[in-house]
Amino acid sequence: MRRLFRHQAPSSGPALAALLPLVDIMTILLVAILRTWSSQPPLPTVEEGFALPVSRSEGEPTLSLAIDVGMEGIYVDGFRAGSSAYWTQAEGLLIPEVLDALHMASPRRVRVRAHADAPWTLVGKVLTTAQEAGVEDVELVAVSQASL
Amino acid sequence: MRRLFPPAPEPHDIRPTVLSVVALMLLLLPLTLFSTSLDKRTSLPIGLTGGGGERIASDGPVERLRVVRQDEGFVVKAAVRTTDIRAAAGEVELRQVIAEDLTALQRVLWRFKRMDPARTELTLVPAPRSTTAEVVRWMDATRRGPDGELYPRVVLEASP
Repeated sequence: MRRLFRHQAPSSGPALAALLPLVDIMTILLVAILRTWSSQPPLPTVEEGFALPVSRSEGEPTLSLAIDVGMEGIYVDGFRAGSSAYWTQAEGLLIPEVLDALHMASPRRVRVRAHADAPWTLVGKVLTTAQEAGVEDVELVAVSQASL
Repeated sequence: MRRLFPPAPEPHDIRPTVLSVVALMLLLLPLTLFSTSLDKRTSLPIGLTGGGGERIASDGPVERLRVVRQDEGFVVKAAVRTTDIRAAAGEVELRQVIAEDLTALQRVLWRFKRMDPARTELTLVPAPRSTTAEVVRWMDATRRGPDGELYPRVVLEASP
């Protein structure tokens, strides 16, 4: 029998209780994604399985000329400029192909993206070559620890 | 005239609000995921030295500071001035400390930092067999320790 003097409120309890955890999860996800948000373009894949080292540093990389040091090759601005295996073993401190490419581009600043497992002997030669080419600022690119 | 049994005030229905938030999230999340690179990149500015050449970064008590990676760990080589710092350059006492791991290295560096707080630079000499990931980890450790900032300007000896 319908009650005369009582208004039935819309039953919002169970439906609302089901939605609230969803809102919580969405909010946490959104905050986590925004914290790791980056305006940088995606890393071009010069080699299969190219992985950058991880760093606690907070600086944003510049968009300067990139030298990639992979496990198979060395690339200046995306173009192959030498073999990693050869230059790891070679005696010389300078890599002529990289030096030529840097002389042509004559950048003041470069960013070196080296594979996490690349031997320091090789990365050191790339840095020495950049120094020889007159590059003033060199930065090493890494993946931030804040990444997801 | 006032009613004897006034109807109870209707409770505010918040379901539309919650649903609109959910709908907004459902739109925002995929958009953010599509437009975001999840591997946030960072950069470590490095100074370079050709090997052997020491750079004097400050006029303070610590004239030179080098961290050399060797088989037994990290060897911290410091040249500490023994006389008045403005009197003469080169009158230094050479100190060498071995740190087995990064925690010990940070403790040693902190001692030198307290000795010369104005100094911000050190030279890091990786071993030829070191990998880039290791060098980056050491750079992070020498730039900031658990007690505070150490040496933010790391000069890498590129050609050992």
